[in-house]
Amino acid sequence: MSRTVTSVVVALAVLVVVVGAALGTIALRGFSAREEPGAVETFVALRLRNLAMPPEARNRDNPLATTELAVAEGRDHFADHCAVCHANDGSGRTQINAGMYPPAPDMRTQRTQELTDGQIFYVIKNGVRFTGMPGWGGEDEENWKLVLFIRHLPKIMPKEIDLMREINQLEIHEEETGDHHSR
Amino acid sequence: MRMTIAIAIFAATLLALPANAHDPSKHKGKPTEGEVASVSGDRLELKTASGVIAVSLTSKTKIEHGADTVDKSHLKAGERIHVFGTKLPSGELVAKEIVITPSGGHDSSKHESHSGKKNKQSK
Repeated sequence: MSRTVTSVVVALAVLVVVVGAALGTIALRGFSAREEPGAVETFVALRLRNLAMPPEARNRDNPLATTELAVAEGRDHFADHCAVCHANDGSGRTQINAGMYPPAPDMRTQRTQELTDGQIFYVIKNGVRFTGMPGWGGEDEENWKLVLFIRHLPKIMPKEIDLMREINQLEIHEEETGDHHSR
Repeated sequence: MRMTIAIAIFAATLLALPANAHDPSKHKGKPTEGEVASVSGDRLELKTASGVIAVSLTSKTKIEHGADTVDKSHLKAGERIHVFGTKLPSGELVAKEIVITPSGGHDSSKHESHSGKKNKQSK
């Protein structure tokens, strides 16, 4: 048997095993969106997302200065469009997110805050495939204000959350706030 | 004929797409309504149902009086206005747009259509 044929057979065998494992997992676990993504899936998905992001997008700096007004405008925009999934405080504790797979992250934590401004901007503008995050498109200036506000989330004040609630009437979802929301 | 109708529908669909795009002007938010108590430069005091608040104007603030876009000299004590803008944590409201209610009273139907949205959006 030639070397090429052997390689093809091995590749096919690996493919069969991978597809079989995937189908087996689906058959055993079902497709409930209320499941918690596993550690391997999370690890692989996050790396694939970052790999798929163009380097020039990753390295973009926010052209806007962090002013009180720019952060507040980002806050109002976030309240209007993002908080329904991400919650006013960015924690992801919302009714929708309780059933999302993968869940929207707690944006106050390192996983989001360690992203570059360019990466956050890219995700807002383009979304993330196979998740609930849509690509909003929109005007760059508005999206950069959202980046400013997301950077501000770890130190958001109760007064600011009250102002967001005036816009969207959203309360923090207190039920089912287990592991699914602590990511 | 069928081809013409198909092309017309396709063109209409394409023309309709921008209306669904993420247009920040579509989310001006809920206006704050009140009576101008005083005006000083780029700042005014607004008497609202919940108290007096400070409103500041920027170079981008648009002021409408009826169907006209006007300058800030039209803002006078006693005028009733609707202010669309951003509230700072300090309570100050930075105006993006001010609509002066035409004399003759409050026109709630215009106000509702002008806001163009309800508070809660799921977009």
